[in-house]
Amino acid sequence: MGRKSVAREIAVKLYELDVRVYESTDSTMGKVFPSGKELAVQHMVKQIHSDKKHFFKKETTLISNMINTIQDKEKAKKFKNELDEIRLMIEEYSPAQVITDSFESNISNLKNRFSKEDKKIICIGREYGSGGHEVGFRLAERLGISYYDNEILKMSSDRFDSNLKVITEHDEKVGKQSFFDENPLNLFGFSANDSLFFAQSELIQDMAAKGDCIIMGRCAEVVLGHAGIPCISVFLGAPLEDRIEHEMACSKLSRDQAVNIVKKKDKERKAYYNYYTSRHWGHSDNYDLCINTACFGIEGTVDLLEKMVNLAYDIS
Amino acid sequence: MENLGETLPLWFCIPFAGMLLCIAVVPLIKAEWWEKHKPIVVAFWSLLFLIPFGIRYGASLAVEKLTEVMVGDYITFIVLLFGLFCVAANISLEGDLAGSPKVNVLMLLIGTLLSSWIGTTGSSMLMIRPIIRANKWRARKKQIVVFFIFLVSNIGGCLTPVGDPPLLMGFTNGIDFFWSLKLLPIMLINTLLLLIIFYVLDRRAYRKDLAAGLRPVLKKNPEKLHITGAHNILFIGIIVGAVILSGILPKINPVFGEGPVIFGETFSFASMIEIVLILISSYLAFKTTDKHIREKNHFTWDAIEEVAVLFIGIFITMIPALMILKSQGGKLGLTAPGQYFWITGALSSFLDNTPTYLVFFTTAASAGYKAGVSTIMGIIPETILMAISTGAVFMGANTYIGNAPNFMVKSIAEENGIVTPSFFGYIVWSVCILIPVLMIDMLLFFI
Repeated sequence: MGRKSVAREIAVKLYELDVRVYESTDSTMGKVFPSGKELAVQHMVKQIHSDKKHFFKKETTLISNMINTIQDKEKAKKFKNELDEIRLMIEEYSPAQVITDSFESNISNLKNRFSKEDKKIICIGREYGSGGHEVGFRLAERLGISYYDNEILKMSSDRFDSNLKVITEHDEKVGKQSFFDENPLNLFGFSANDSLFFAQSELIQDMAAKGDCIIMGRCAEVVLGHAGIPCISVFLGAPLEDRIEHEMACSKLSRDQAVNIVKKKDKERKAYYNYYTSRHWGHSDNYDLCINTACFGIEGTVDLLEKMVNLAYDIS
Repeated sequence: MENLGETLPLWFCIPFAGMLLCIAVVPLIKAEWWEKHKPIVVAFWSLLFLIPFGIRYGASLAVEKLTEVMVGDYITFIVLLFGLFCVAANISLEGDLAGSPKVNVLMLLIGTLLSSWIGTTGSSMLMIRPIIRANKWRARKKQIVVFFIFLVSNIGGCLTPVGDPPLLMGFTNGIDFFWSLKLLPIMLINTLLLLIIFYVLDRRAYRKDLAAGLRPVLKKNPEKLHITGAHNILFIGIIVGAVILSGILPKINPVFGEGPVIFGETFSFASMIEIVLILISSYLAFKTTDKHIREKNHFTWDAIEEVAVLFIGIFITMIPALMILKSQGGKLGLTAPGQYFWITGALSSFLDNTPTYLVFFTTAASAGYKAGVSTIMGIIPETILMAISTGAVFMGANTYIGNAPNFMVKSIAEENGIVTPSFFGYIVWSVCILIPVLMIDMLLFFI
C-alpha cells in the first residue's frame, strides 16, 4: 500500500470512529470533526503529510474524552482499542517518504483524476463580459450534457419559497451586511448571502451527483472539491476593453453604462469568490485552465474546452 | 490565624504553585495519564502542604485549617456547582439556531445579562450547551469558549450579590442589595468592547470555516426555537434563592449562623438549609425530566467530577497563600482605587476571589474613611468599593481557576469535541484581550 493510501486510511478510520463514538453518546452537541467525511479526511491527510502530529494529539484526546462518556463499557473498550490502533498508525507514519510516492502516482495529472464511474463535470468561472455564458451553453450542447446557470437561481428560489427577484439580488454577492440586517430568506442568524451560498452549495452537489453537467460560477469547483467530487475547473477572462465592447453589443448599452456594469459585476464576483473560498478569484493556481476568450473567440474556446474534456475523460 | 500568616514561610505556597503547574502542563504532555491520575496528583500536592504544616505547627492546627476550608468553603462551593450543573443539564434549548457570529454575540449577551440574576455559574451552565449546539457544524470555535468565560462566567455577574460570591459577601457585610447596580456603566463598557472584539474574531473564524467547506445542515422547514425541560428553570430559581437565603438568614436571626462545630469550624444552619435546598432541587430535576433531554445535552458526570477533584486540591493548597494574604493585605499601603482594583484582581485571578475580596474590603473599611458606603466593618469610599468589586469579579476571568464556572465551561466544551486553549494559552488570551479592556476601566473609573 502506498504512503498516500496509508494516510488516507488513517484519516478515514479516525473519522469513522468519531462518528460511531458520537452516535453512541446520543448527544446532539456536535462531534470532534464537524464537517462531512470527505472534507474531514482531506483535511486530516493534509495534516498527516505536513507532519502535524500535534493536531492528532488534540483530536484523538477529544475522541478519547468522548469515549469515556459512553455508558456501555464494552462498547467503550472496543472504541478505545480502535483509537489506540489508530494512534499507533499515526506514530509509525513517516511523511518524509510521501514525496517519492506522490511523484510516482502522478496524481495531479488531469487524466488520472477521473475514474470510469465519475460524472463529467465542468465548472466555469468567468469575468463579466468574457462570453462565459455562451461558451458554457455551446459546450453543453456539443457534449450533450446539462447546463446550469440561471437554473440554479430558479432552484434556489424554490428551496427558500422566495421570489426570484430576492434571490437574484443576493446571487453571487457578499454585500456589506449590517449586524442588524434581517434575512429575507428566513434562516435565523445567517445573512441572506450566506443562506443562499449554503443552499446553492447543496444544489451544486446534488446536480453533480445527478449527471454530467456544466456549472457556471458560484465557487462550484471549490464546493465540489470539498465534497470530494472530481471536476474540471476553468476560468474565462478577456481584456477589459474587449469585454466592454462585448457587453455593449449584447445589451445595447452606452459605453459608460457598459463600463460601470462590467466593473461592478467583476467586483461582486471577486468579493464573493474570495469570501467563500479564501482563494483568489481568477488566479491560475485555482483552475485547471485559464483562457483569454478574446484570443480564441467563443467557438475557439469551446473547441479548446471540448478537447480538454475528451482528454480528461479519455474519450476518443 | 492572622499572626501565623505573618510568620508563615513563603515556601508553604510551593504545593499551590505545583498544583497550578500540574493543571497547566500535565494535560499538554500526558493527557491520557492526567485523565486517569488526577486524584493522585491532587492528593500528592495537598499532602505536601498538610504534612509539613502539621509537623511544624501541630496536627490539630493542620486539621483545623483543613476543616475550615472544607466545611467553610469547599462543601457549599461544590454543592452549588453540582446543583446548577445537574439542573441545567435537564434544560435544552432546541431548534435550528445558526452558529453565526451574530447569533453568538446575541447568546453571549443574553448569558452576560442573565449572570447577575441567576449567578455566573447558573448562567454558564444554562447557556454553554445551547451555544455549543448552535456551533456544532463549525471547526474554529476556541474564541467562543474564551469569550463565554470572560463575559458569562465572570463579568456578567457584577450587578447583584447573586451574581458572584464576593458580592454576596459584601451584602452580608452590610452593603445594600442593589448597590452593585452602580457597576452597570463599567459592565456595559466591558461587555460592549468585548462583544465587538469577539464579533470581529468570530467573523474571521466563521469565514475560514466557510472557506474550508464547512456548512450547517439546512432544513427545508427550520425547527423553531423552543426549550425542553423548561420547568427546571424553577429549580434554578430555588437554588439562587437558597444562596441568597444563606446570606440573609444569619442577619434575620443569629441562630442560623450557629450550628455543629467540627474541629473549631461552625457548619451553620444557614449553610445546611442552602445545601439541602440545592440537593433537593437537583434530585427533583432528574426525577421530573425525561432522560432523553440529558442524552441530547450529552450529560455526563465527568465535568463536575474534574472540577470537584481539582478544586479540592486548589482549596487545600491555597490555605497558606490566603493566610499570608489575610495578614499582609492590610500592610500593602493601598490608597488609590486603581491599586485596589489591580491587587484584588491579580490575586483573584489565582486565589479564591471571595476571601481576596474580603481581605481588601476589610483593609479599606478599617482605613478610617469618613465618607462613602457604610458597612458593618466601617465606611468605604464608593470608588474604592467599586474597584474592589470589579477587580474581584472581572479578573476571575484571567485564568481557568479564577472562578468556579471557568473550568466547568472548559470541561463541558472539551467533552463535546471543542479544542480549548491550554492553561497558559488561555492566559495569553486574557493578557491580549481582557487586560487592555481592564486598563480602559482603570482610566475611566479608577483614576
